[in-house]
Amino acid sequence: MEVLILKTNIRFKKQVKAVAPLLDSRQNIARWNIDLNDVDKVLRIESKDIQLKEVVQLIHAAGFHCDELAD
Amino acid sequence: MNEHSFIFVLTMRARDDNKIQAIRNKAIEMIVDQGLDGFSMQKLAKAANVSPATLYIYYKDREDLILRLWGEVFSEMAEATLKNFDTEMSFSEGLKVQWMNRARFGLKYPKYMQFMEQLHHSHLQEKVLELTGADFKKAMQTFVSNAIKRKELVKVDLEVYWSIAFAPMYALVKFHQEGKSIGGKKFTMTDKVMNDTLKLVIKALTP
Repeated sequence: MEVLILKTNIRFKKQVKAVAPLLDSRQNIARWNIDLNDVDKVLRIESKDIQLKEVVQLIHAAGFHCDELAD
Repeated sequence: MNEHSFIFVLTMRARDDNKIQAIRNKAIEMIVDQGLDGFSMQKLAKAANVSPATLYIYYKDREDLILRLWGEVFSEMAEATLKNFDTEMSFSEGLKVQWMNRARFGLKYPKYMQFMEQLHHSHLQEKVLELTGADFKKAMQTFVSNAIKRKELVKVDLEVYWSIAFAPMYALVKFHQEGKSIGGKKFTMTDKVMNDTLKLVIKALTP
């Protein structure tokens, strides 16, 4: 199981609800959550074989921005 | 594609307990020194010398971290308070044991007490209260109801009880930690001060 961490500009609960179906519908995403309480609005994904590109595309399609979380 | 953006978590991999401990202590320190509102995963990662991504392996989000921290600190406090304590003890005996245990714990871990205070006054209070050890609560309640039944303790509201039974002790602990009491008067905790105060507390709570 991989844990993929991305920072996003998803800031409100309403926006999380908007992307939820897109993330839920992906078979290869086991669990995901967005930390709205933190400055980076981190999207955390537990998955077995998801590609970063796939997630980026998905988030962009929903109208949001996301980026790798810098080390 | 930057391979640092993927964190591979193998199910068999041992968690780095030292790292977790360091993160834990740093988080408590930061929350006590800078308050809960100013606390962020990003700041913690920098202060603890780990990448933010590392934090998110161990904790689902900021709230998860804070609540788990609270749970751990609370269990330690509960365990320390209940050491050599029996709910069947007489009121004066049981209260003395609790005083000594709680004071010792508060003096040994000053940041823990301040941390718990921060959380009590935060919007997370409800969630925090849900987590409060049911066992610990039950032990406290059983001790009190036994003492009331035996007519060793007056029957009063919880807040009245707590303000007299424990608040004085915590006030003394705070004075000791600051090295001074009222009006800048120098102060060090002694057994005599503890015992004198405890005696009056018990007197006040005896029917």
